Amino acid sequence: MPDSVSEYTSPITQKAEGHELPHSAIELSDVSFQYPADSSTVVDVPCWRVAKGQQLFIDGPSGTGKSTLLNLIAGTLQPSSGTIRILGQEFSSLSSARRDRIRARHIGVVFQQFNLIPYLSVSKNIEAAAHFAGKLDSSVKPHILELFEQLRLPSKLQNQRADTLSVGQQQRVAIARAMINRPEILIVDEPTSALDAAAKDTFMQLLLSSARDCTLVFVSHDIALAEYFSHRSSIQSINRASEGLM
Amino acid sequence: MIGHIAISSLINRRGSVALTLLSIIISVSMLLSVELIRNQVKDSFTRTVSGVDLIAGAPTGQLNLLLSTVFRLGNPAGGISWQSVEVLLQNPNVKWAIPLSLGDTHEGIRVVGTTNDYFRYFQYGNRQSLEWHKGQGFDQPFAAVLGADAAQRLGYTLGDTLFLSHGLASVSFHQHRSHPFVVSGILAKTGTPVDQAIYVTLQGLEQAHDAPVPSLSMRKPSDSQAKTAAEHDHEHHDDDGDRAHAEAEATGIEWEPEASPKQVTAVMLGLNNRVAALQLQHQINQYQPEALLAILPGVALAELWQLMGNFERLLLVISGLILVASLLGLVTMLLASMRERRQEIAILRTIGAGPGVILWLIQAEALLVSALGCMLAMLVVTLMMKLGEDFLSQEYGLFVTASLFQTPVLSVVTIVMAATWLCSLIPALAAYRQALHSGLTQR
Repeated sequence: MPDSVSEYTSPITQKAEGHELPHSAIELSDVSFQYPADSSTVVDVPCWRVAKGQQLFIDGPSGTGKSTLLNLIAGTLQPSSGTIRILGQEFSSLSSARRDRIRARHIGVVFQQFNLIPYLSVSKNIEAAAHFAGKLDSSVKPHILELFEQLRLPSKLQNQRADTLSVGQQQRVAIARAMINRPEILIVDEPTSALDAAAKDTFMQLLLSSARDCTLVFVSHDIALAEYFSHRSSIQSINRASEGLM
Repeated sequence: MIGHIAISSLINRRGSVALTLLSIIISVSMLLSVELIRNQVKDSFTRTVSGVDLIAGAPTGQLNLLLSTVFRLGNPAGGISWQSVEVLLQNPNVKWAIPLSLGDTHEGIRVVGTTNDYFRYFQYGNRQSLEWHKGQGFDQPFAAVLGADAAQRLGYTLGDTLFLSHGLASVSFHQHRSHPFVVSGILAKTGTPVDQAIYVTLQGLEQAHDAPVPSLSMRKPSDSQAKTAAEHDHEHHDDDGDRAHAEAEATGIEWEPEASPKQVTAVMLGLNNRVAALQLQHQINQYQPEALLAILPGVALAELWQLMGNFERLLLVISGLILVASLLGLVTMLLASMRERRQEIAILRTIGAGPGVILWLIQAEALLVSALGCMLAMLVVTLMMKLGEDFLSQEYGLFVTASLFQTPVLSVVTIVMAATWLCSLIPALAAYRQALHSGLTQR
């Protein structure tokens, strides 16, 4: 078993000797990444897997490559070396357009704040995600209403400009947008950093109930949030380069 | 969806977009105006005279002779004696001749002394003859025929009388009040300087000039004056000769003058064979008893276009430079917005928009601003043309229309849109590069 696999990571995400695990949603092998203008390695992951349906919390201080790791999983960044498999498909060798399409259809993303395009209405923000996934049809509007109900958002917010919402409302709309295409994987990056304690709890409850059928990778430096997750890992245990970044 | 995002993004930055839009409207309006006026002036000049093979007048520049006789622009230079006109009329190559006597006005409208041959032989556009809106040609020595616009502007109708003022200034203190002219006909509209003039008989004009100048009044004559004039004119009917009767049979007009004027400003000539035009031009230019100048209208027009060509090019270059400045303003606006749009690009990337989509989004915004600018500029130019139509036709004899569905307009719009697409590649590629490296959060 590779050293870098966290002791907290679920056993089904770990590599059995000589066998590919059939249930991996995310799989990284010998992945390294450097930003073009920077010679230092930001991400160095020898081996890491997340099982399908797993809800994983990754903690770690700021500047240890957490967001870069999520960008690599989402396909918005290309690794300098190594391979990334998403839902069994080798993601890193695909063309940019294919990666964009897979991301749009199978991966939902919620990040820190300013998640929404400020000048678009709430519904247009959500519909845009469906559009880029090629799923913008008549079923989208009822689905938005369902998500609003699930996330306890008043339906009248749909026509409001995104930048007129409170931060808490914006983050909940971001969940709705991430879930509109019914993704298999949900990537969440420090979503509660701008929320107070009460709003954090509400947000976490709503997020976990919405994403109960997804593989969830949740990254935060707030260790207190780990209690919401059955599986936990630290960035240091995944990314060998994180030590050098701190 | 991209269109919706682009429009919403532009509305969100409406302050800077409005300023950029304004500069595009101004530059495209200039470019459209120059191009439209250039083409329409050319067309207007070309259609003004048709079928006239030669114009003979006193020695001056060929442009001056053309502009003063055909377009009623500038001042006629001297005149030619009636004897010389008669020599020209006897030339076997000459089919018809229209003598023109210029130099008088009525209420600022130019007066042309001529004969009924003007209405018979003068052609415009694609060999179209003049037609009558009301009445007929000269039926007595003090008859006047009004061009369509002149009649409309003066509000005169058949039987009304008018006095001529000496000189071409818009206000004259020398009026030929002893000889009122009676309106015998009004020409149908031609869309050429023909519409902007009043036509009187050469004899009437000659007599009006020979008489003393009694009054300074500029008013339309009273009914009693009109009646007196009509009675006075009626006396001349009995003096018509055999030639006049022969003409009357041909034209349906009962009177034709027999008295000849001393001199005229110029003569328009129609030839039996156009091939003889150059030979006759040479003969006229070598005419010994009197110094004359003969011009070929087409050649003179070509000289005019050559002269105007440099000015046109200069105007086009200036307009083009203004357009380039406006497009650079558009590019600057889009580039300046890139920093504040980093997060927006990151969001679009995370929901599946590829770098190509981001590139197209930026280009769509630029094209939308330019398209709106072009549409508004077309509206502005239409409005300006509509407002300036009368002024240009009355002051300069230029007939421009506000029709926008013309090749030059479509060419300008196509060029502007193509230039916008090209210029917008600068910010679009910057956004593309940014999109390639943008992730969930900005580094």
